[in-house]
Amino acid sequence: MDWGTLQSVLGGVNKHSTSIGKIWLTVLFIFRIMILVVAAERVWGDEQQDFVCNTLQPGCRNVCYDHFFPISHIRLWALQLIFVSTPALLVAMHVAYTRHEKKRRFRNGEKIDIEELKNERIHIRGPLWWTYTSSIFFRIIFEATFMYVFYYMYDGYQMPRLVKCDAWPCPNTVDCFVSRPTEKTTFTIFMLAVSGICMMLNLAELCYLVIKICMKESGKGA
Amino acid sequence: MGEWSFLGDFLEKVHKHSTVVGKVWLTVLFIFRMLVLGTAAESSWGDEQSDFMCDTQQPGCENVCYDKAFPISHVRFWVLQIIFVSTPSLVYMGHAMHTVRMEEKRKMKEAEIEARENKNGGDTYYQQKCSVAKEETKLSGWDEAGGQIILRGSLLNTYVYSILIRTAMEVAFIVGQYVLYGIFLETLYICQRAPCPHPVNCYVSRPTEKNVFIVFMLAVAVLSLFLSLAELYHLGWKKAKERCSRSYKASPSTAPGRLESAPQAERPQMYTPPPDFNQCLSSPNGKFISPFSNKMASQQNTANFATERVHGQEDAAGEGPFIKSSYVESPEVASECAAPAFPENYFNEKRRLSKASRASSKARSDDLSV
Repeated sequence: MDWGTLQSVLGGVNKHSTSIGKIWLTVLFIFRIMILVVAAERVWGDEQQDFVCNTLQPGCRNVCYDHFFPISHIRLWALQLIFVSTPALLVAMHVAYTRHEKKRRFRNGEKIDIEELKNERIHIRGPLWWTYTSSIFFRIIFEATFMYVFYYMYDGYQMPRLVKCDAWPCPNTVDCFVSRPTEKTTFTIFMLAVSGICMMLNLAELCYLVIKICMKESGKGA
Repeated sequence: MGEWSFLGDFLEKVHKHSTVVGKVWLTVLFIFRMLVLGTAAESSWGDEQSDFMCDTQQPGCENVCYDKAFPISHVRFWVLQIIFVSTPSLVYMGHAMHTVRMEEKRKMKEAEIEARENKNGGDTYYQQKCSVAKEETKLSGWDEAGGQIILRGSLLNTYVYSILIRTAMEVAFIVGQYVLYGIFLETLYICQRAPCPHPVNCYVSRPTEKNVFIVFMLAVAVLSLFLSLAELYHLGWKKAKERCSRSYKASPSTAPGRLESAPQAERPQMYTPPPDFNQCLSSPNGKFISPFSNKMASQQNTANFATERVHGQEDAAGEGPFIKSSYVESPEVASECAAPAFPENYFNEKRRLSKASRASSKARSDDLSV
């Protein structure tokens, strides 16, 4: 999975983020995407091969694996990371639109330094504030949704060692053994903890932005 | 190594702002840990479960025995170790970037003051700018003349804390590895766990090769720990030296510009000391009583003192535990207060110098680049 493209897009947004936003981005790339790519994919790599059932009935193992793991943790995390990163694209689009508007005004004759425009750090105020705040809000919603989906789909966050399966064509209730359950539980809890941290960071950023705008408004009014 | 590029890119930036020992530590991390892990260790542990054989036909027995023998694979353990050990450096880098940003904001404010002063006109502009610059340089740890970040004050504290946490993490992971696996892997693992019907012999895949890598990674971890401790000792010693020198130095920390802008109030306290005079004199509040009563002589002394203070400032910037690490992204700014510009990428660890000397006696340009 090529996460480099995502990194280049989000890197551009990084310039216009608050400090908390930059910390969030760092945590996302190092503690989530990197762990996913370097460690977790290998742990889950042999999940179907080494899913062993105590039966010789052909097809029983396949059916039981599919029943207990409708969507693998790895794919769910990849989806979670993509959904959680997407709102930042809204901010990137807004910034690009603002720049485009400035260039248009430059072409119409207004005096704007075009070189400075490329490197200018656009401050978060006005319509950009709304875009940015709603992107953080959506991020929080997506994080919470995925954490709930994990909990619902796998009955908690622990990977069981033994699952009992009686799906057809298994002739009776069959013992099936999951591969590397302890290691998988460790990584599931780790990723959950980092999701929690990211959500806290997003909440903090949201509060910071709201308080900042309230103080500005009260300053103007006073 | 491509997968490690996320962390690698961040650590490259940290590399620029570290001391010499810090750079050596980062090089060890990149080459002996990340690279070895990514290329060699991964392939050695690749078939760890598929070739984990147990002497039983019982379905599921191999799975559960493997899970009991290796709750977390060595490779994943080392990945987590590298990430957790690198994290404090990222925190330090965040603080350094924040410092740089504060400096940029300060410069913008100065530019605004300049614009305002130019409108109003006034002789006090340069003095104010110098005074503000020098005052905030001391607070922020930013050497405007050299375009470098100086490790002092809160930034030095962050650096020291980051090294302390890094050391603690390193020790924790080494101890953790010992608790989980001991030092060496055995070829034979005897397993008794449901659904295995009885104690079963299980055979680990490639134990000798794995032991070689385990010993290698352990040795590199101990080396990194040693480097961290060496850096701590070095910083701690420098900081203690700074404290000693500060307790002898009793001169006020006012900038020369401010002296010139408020000569009336402070003239009675101005005098022209010989070099190191302030070390001979010690007073509790750091104020010196002028022996001169003649006004003209006093004025001349004020000017002389100001000139000496300017030279003293730039030397003082290099004294004590201040470890300069260059920050290449910043433009070189020529300060109006006549401090010499240092070249970029100039790493310098200065000892206490005589006031007359300008150059460092210990110029170092042998930075390691990864």
